[in-house]
Amino acid sequence: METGKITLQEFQLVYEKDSSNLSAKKKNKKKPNEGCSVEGQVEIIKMDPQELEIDFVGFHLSLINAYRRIILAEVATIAIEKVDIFNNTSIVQDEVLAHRLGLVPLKVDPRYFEFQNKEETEWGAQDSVQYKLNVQCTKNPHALGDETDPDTLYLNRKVLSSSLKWVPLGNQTDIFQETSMQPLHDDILLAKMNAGHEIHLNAYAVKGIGSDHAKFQPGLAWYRLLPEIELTREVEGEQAELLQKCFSSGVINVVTTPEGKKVARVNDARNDACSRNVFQYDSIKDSVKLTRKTDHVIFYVESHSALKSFEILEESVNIMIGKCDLLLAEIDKYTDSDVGN
Amino acid sequence: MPVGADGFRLPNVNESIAKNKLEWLTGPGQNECCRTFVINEEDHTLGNALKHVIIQNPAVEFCGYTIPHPMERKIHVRIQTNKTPAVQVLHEALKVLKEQNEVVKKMIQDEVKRYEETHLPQESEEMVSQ
Repeated sequence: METGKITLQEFQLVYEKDSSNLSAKKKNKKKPNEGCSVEGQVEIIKMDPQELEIDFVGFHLSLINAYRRIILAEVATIAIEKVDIFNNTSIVQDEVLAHRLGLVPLKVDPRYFEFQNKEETEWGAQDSVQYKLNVQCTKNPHALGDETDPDTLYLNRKVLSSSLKWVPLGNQTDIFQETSMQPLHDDILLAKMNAGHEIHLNAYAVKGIGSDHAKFQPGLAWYRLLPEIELTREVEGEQAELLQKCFSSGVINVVTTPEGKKVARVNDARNDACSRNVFQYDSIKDSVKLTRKTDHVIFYVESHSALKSFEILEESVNIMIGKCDLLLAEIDKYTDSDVGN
Repeated sequence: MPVGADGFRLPNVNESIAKNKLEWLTGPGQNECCRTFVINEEDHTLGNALKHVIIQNPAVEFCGYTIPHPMERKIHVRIQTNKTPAVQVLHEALKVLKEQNEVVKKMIQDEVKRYEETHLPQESEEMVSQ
């Protein structure tokens, strides 16, 4: 793996490939028959079901980028696809309401469902989830005479995602519980109504992938390379304070040496946003060397679906393995037929 | 124009012809050792990762991938070797890529377990002490 550095200069990025590693690569190359051992480590910095911060050290960027692309485009979730509207007298148009319903994230676990066939016309228990929304806005009989706040004057003025009720299809009651079929958040505003308005609809959710529609994306994924800061000369006094301000907080510390001088020290370059602000000031422009390590990737995953953040990442690796398997099977098909010829 | 149950146009008859996942081009620049493979329904996700693995192979003289047109979902992977059949190179590269992915998957699973073990027990201790 190339462990070069990317130097961040004032107006350009300079890619330096590590020459010592190239000769090591050639030594590895002379043994193609041995099993490819992956030199690399994975370390989780922070993890909870919604967010994940994970470090990939020693892996090539093309693989990490593939995981990011798969999370955004090919990891499946469940979202509302078709809406049958029986009555909609609110001022929110049918199509706008249906679009908003599609974007509501659902807590339904997509791994229990199959993809629906394109030609399928019925809603089966194994590939769809049905919801109903039946809300009327009426005057509040208990409101005081001089009340002006519309939210208390009328009942059900705001249609929230908590009004989406699950309607079990087929044998879904045996497998799922009501609490695991609700939208992820209860307070998503879908529509606003006035007295006398009514919304009555059935919504059907199916399994889909992000490349079809962004509502099917399980979450966000992005990565950055680890920044490094090196001080090329001693920076003291006012310049040290200025240097500290040029970087994100916590990156540069100003410490007092035993002689009483205030000197800048690099504390932790990891949190730096790489704004290169330091190049604005001529006095300290020459005092730092900013680089990025090309083989240390900080990968972030945020989940807004039923899958937990680490499950999304594992699922994307599984999908990548699936792609390789599919192609290997295709090649075997061809080589078998060649042998037959 | 034939219309389906939900009011949308039925797909053309031509669209339903199943495409092969993997094909290769024929012509003057193609032989056993120098081949351009066409992989349907793929993009940079697989292309870049596969190209990187193929290049690590010392038998390969040239390897590159391209997407001929952004509106068609397919990639062309060109492999040129001296004596090894290109199909063999592709096969080995896919195996290596699959192996790398399985190693990464195992690493992630182990890390998740390790993190859960080191972090969640502390929370339950706090709950007990309160």
